[in-house]
Amino acid sequence: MNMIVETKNVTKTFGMNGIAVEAVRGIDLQVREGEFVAIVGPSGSGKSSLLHLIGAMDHPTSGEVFFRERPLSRMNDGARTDLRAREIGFIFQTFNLLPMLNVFENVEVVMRFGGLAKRERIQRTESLLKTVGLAERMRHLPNRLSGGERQRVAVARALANQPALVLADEPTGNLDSTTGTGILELLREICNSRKQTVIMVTHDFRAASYADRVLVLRDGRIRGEAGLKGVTDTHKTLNQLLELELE
Amino acid sequence: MLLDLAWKNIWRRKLRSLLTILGVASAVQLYLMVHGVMGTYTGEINGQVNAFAGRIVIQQQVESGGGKSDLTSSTSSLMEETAEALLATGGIDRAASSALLFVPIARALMPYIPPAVVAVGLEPGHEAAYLGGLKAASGRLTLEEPDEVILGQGAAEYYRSENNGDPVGIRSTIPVGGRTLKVVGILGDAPQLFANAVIMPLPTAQAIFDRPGTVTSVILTVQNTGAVETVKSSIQAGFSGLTVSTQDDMLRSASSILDAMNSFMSIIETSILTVAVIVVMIVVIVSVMEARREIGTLRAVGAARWRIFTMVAGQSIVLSMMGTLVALPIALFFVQWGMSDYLSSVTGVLQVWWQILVTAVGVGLAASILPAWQAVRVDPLESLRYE
Repeated sequence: MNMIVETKNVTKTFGMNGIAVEAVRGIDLQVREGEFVAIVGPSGSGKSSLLHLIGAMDHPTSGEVFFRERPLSRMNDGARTDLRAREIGFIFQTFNLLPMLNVFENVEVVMRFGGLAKRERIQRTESLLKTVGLAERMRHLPNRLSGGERQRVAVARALANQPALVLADEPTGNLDSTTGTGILELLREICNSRKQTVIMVTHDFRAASYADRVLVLRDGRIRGEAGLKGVTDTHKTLNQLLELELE
Repeated sequence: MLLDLAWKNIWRRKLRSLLTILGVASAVQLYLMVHGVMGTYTGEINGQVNAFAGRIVIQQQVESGGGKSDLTSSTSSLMEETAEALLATGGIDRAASSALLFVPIARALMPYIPPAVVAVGLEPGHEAAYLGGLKAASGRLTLEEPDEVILGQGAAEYYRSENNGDPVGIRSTIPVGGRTLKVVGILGDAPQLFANAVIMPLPTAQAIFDRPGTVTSVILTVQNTGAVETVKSSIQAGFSGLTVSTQDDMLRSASSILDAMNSFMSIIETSILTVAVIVVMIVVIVSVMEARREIGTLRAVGAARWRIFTMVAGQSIVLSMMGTLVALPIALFFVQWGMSDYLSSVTGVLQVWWQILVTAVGVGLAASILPAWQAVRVDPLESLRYE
């Protein structure tokens, strides 16, 4: 299968109070089309920074990120914005819905960036909201929704332009376990039925068990990796990874 | 475009938006007032000057302002003998020339514009000297009897209040200085100099206003308009202590007055609009600061910088346009009800409707530059800084 994301020796250094902090240290990563990859690690391990680099939201200090073999460093702001609009969907931990727009509008607005015609935007928004179980709440403002419902809106928004890649940053971080399970099943379903690639950042190994492949990140480096596809005892495999992380 | 988002941003902060709109409305209505009044004023002066094409106005020279074209100056005083000598100048059309007596009945709002109502005494049979080619709305424009009077439309309106609110028309009588005069003609549309005139025979005016044997000015109509400067030179050579003004002189005088006033008013207008721009800018900047996370989210999910710019500029322009819409009826109300006694129409405001539109969009755009610049620089990662 074709590679959708590839990173080559990517590093990211932030300056904090005059001290250089290396969040990502020479990461080489390859993600295939249609794969569900979970990146796990403790807080500060660099997993979100890596996700932002992959999502064309940030620039690496060194190394290169490729999206479908196109180097992101060669793209100007307009091209990177267009990439985010058409080929990448984002799901944020804190949902990041626009408070003045209702559920329908929150999903529909990103389709404008994808250049869709109005009629198609309406049809697709209704269909997506039906898929995530919010057809009855289209005209509600975000502040009238529960956390789980907001995240489902965010999932619908991420899928609005039928992106090849969905990036989820701690998508269950602000949800109770039952609601979180519903979101994870939805992401798994996206991968299975729509053949879209999902890269999810989480510190929760239970959430990671929904992925095809799990990468453990610590101190900005990949410290372990395990494939879960076809594995019958995912619990045992994840425990082994957890031990690796605790070393 | 994200104009619907701009509108929702305005709607989300209703009180703030309302106060901004009222602030803009105050500034814009003041701008419209100044602009409209200046427009009316300029039109009026130009109308006066144009009415004196091919004619020469002679007044007594005064120490200050002697060169100004205060055509209805009542401070000028010429002896009737001098006036007769002037009217005997060669090369003039005597039938269309006359000695005149101007006496204000109601004062003007501003200098260099005609009194709100002015009595004009002229020689019977020489009405054309003053009225030129003006047409009558009703009646006749000739004075045949000592107690007859011709009214401009503004003057007729003025005397309506003296007539228990009843319209003043042909055969109506009006009281002037203790005498009752009969209206024989009403002027059609005319510059204010004429619209506010109460025109009567010169002897009648001299008697009513106790100015026996004197006039305030002489108007000469030159037979050959190409010879205006020659006639002027001969008058200046033959008479001392007089101000002799041709249409060109009046134009120069009017231009210098208008230029000075326009410069002053432009400073006021610019200051007013700057206040409006700053009011809108402050509100939109605060709005952008509050919405950094949302703007970051929009950038993260693929909103291009130009879309963010249009959203912010749209918000700014909508506020400005709404303020202008509120300002328009207020300005018209003030001009109509507060100044109608002095300025004959509201056309000064109405005529600049397209300028109003351009001004509103201009204020909005100018106010949006800084906040829009701040907004388009918001990083997509800004959406995550609050997690």
